[in-house]
Amino acid sequence: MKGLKVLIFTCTLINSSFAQELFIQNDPASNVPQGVLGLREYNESYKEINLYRNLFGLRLMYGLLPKLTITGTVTVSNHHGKNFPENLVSHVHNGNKTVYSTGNFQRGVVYPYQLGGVYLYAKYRFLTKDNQNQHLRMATYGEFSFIKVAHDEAEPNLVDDTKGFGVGLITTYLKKHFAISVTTGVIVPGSYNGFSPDALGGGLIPTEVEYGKAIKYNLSFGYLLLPLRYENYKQTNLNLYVEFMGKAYQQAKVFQYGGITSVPIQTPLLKANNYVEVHPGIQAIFNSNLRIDFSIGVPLINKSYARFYPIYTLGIQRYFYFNKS
Amino acid sequence: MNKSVLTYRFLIVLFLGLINSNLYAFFDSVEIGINGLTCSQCTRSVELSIRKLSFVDNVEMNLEHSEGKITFKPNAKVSIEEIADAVMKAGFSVRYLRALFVFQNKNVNNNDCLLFEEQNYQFVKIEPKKLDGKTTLKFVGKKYLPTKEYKEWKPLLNNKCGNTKEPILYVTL
Repeated sequence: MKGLKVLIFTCTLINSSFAQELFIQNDPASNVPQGVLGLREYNESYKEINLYRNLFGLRLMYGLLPKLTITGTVTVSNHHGKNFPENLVSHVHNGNKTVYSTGNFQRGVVYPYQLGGVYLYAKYRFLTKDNQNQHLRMATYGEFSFIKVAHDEAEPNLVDDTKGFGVGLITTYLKKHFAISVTTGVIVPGSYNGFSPDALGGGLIPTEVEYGKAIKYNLSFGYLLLPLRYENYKQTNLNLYVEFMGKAYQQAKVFQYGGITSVPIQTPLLKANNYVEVHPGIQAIFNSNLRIDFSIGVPLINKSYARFYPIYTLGIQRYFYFNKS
Repeated sequence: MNKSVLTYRFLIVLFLGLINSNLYAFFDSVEIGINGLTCSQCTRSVELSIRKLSFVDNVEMNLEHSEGKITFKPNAKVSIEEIADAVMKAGFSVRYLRALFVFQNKNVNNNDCLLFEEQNYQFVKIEPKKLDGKTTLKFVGKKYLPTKEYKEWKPLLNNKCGNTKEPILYVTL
């Protein structure tokens, strides 16, 4: 009898006509409705040695045109210090020669919270194949970042770690109770000019890090768990997500003394890498607007050196429609 | 729209019809099907987008079937095109759009063109018919149908209203 109930429940889910594409990590190809303002606050946390690294992001989203959405994000985090970490570059004297190298610099160092900068994103939907309760959509996006922090890994992250720009494609398909979305793109980061403390007490040395160019390949699955049948806007929606976040990036380049010294890269933190993380998540939507979501990210293939695992993401989001009544 | 408003509008049209033979119908409501909707938040976005239109009185959405019924403010000039645009602005597409009219003894033939509230309604693919009482008109223009269905109708949508400033809305019964 119990087995029969489970079977009926499963069949009901499979026959559900709605899916969800309101992904936690990725953006779908669909847009914010024209003239509607969205507000999202989110927090990413992970434990690094003995302390928690936190990032707080505040994102404004606006439907400029039916097919064009623009967003702006401001981030605050305790990910970086004012200068590059000690031991980012070390050197030894070999006779008359000075041999430089990138060292395995210390992790788990306490940094104060600081404003990372501004991240801008625009998305244009160029393909729309709509049917009843299903759609196939494609969009292209451009992202620009004005972040100025002493990021000390090769991996570029435009939202909070590195300045630069990126472009990409999003394809989202919904059928019955499933939503699937693929995001691919390139990231062209800028470099950061800062200072690196000399491990031998030589003061602050002008240091430039050129981060690796990257491609990203993300895959998201969404599934509407509840309600089984839509009746009104008051019903709380419960959605499940599994998102795969992949990235491949080049090795960083490190220069000191205004580019005079090119430092050989030895630490894996500054070397080329590729990885795939998986972020299972759950989301509740109240009154068909207020959205609260939570996901946990762990490495699946290789790992990111820019953060530790697991990564906890908690977000809250809602739209403002500006209707008179 | 409630019954008293309907009766009120019908009486006005009846009265004006006696003194002006050009008035032969009035708008009752619109039924609309939406494509691409996949969540209640999306449906809500569509509803709120339609509600922004000045002539709309009420919108009742059926979330399960992604369709809705739109009623209008008394004496307001209704724009069918703006309703379709509101759906598009919310990020979705019209699956069908049907308007419920109340006609008064109006004979129509295929390709007939009727001017109503500064919009031309051209009848396509119809048999000659006398319209009297409640009649549903289905809109068959590009904005009111899925692309595949529109392509089937497209060869029939030729302007028979002549040189006119007013927009032409192709309808069928």
